[in-house]
Amino acid sequence: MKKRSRKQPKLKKKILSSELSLGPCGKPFEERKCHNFCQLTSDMIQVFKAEGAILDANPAWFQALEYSNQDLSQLTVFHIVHPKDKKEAEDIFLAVLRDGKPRKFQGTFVGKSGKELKVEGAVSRLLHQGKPYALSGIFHDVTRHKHYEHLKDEFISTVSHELRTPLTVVREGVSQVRDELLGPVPDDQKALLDMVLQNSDRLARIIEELLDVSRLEAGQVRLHRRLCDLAVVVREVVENFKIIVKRKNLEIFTDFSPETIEIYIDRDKIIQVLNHLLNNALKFTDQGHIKIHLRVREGFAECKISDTGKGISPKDIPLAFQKFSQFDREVGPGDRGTGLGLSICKKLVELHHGRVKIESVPAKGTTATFLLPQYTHREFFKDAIAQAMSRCVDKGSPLSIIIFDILDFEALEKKLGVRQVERIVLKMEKIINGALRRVVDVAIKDTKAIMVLLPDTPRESAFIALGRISQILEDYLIREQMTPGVELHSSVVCFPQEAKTLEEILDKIYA
Amino acid sequence: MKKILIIDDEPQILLVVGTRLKVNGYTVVTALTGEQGIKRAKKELPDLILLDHVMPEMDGGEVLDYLQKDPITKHIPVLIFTANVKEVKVGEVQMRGAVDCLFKPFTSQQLLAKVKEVLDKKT
Repeated sequence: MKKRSRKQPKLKKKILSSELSLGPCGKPFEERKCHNFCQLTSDMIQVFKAEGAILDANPAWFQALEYSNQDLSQLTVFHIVHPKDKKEAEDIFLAVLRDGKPRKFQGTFVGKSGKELKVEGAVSRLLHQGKPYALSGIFHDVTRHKHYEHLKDEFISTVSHELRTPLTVVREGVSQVRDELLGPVPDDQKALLDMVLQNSDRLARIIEELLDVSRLEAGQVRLHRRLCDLAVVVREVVENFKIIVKRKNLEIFTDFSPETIEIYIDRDKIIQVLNHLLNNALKFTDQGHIKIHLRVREGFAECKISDTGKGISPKDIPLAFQKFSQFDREVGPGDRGTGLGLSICKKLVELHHGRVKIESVPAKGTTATFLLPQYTHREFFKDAIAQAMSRCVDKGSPLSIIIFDILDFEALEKKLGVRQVERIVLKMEKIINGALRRVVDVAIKDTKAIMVLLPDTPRESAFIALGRISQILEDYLIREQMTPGVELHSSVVCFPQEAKTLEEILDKIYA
Repeated sequence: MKKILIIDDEPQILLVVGTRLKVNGYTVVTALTGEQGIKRAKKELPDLILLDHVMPEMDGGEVLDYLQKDPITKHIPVLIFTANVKEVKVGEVQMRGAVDCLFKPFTSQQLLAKVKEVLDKKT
């Protein structure tokens, strides 16, 4: 190893100079300047092989991780990367080495003394004589930043909770006086009390939305996705707005194509998004109509809400998704927003791996569009397992997955027809979801199988659930006179007991 | 007349919620601690218990477990009310035996609707 470290410097200089030698204007930097940059920067820089061996590092790296030059020969990059990030780091390193595209890395580094550093940075490929030689990583220590972020989230969350009880007392107390439970109240005083009530409702809304934002930003919001018809969800939301629409003398038109859009979403969260976007459209539209389009394109379900309202000026559009941004407010009484709604919508849609955008022409109207990916069953299932796994890793609890395979699937399709079999599988998925007792549990169908995810559930308890669900499914099949005919085979896979990674779980399921 | 027991360590909550329920025709019994609440529940055998989740010494979850284990009180529906949206999950509370959750701040309409819904279901 010593031999290699004596040989290395010449090569390293070459590597660093070949990668860093061009400035933004294309003129070469002096090698000395490049060297000075590596020496003086507070970011950690390391040069390493994808399989782990560390070839070189800069002073900031040694200082932050408390290692010395002598330690380098015995170290691999996987001594530095926290075990929980090892798999992800390995994947990133190999991908960069393969295609040469730099990639971001976020994770935890562990120093010599065991001290943990939260880092963010990028990994890129180094070439030697035109061939991939090693990787370089530049990382920024964000430990303090993450700590403050956590404190801020905790603060918002605690304050929000502490405000709720006094707000209940204020609201209910005023409401009782207003409702004359304690004696008659003159009309002018009633008007004043109504104002207090409206404002305490607004305060409650702000607290609610602040809490939503802080939980979304802290990554504490988890989706509970189920297969739903987006068209039905939109219709339900529109129905709830009918009274306000009538009161404002407006109209709502819907145009859904196709009429049914089956999609895996967290229904409540998408309703929250729709409620907010429709509420905004109604708030800023005094005459004309609101149109809702639903389309399916390129693997996405697209929902477009257009109004004929006063619109947003172009300079304000980029601010629309920022927290607390409110514009074109009118002087005088009226429904005040909190300026948090759109940023919540954006985050909720992004949690679904979707996108949201606002387009507007002043005095003509605004169009808010959100797109949600239409996963295949398998993609969705993979995503759902990954989420359930991260929940279980956080809690240090097991995740059990029950698999119901439909035996002789092809023969069954021939016998009953593809449509009929599809209908049966869908019905069974619905029955299982109806029978699950906890919000976190979910059943997802694939073509030939139904998987049931049970977070925080050891293998033994999964078998109890399996017995119960099997009975319910059997009752259904008997009722529908499909026994004999549809035969199910069931099994259980438990993480981390039997499979330690997502890939291992999938291998076991699809074996 | 249906009898409702409210258990909350905030006397002001007992006052405002109690008043609203009394005016709407319910008999109201109150308790300021979990322990006192369990005693009242056994003695008064109310039709419904409104239980605060966050309380010092014995919290709502513990009171709920106790009420569920005791054959005298296990049939009484319990409605949890709480300010702790982050910690209290409706599904988990229901698994422990409560019928539902009411999150603070609630309006009188929400309170009365939920109480009526639970009592109607019981009968």
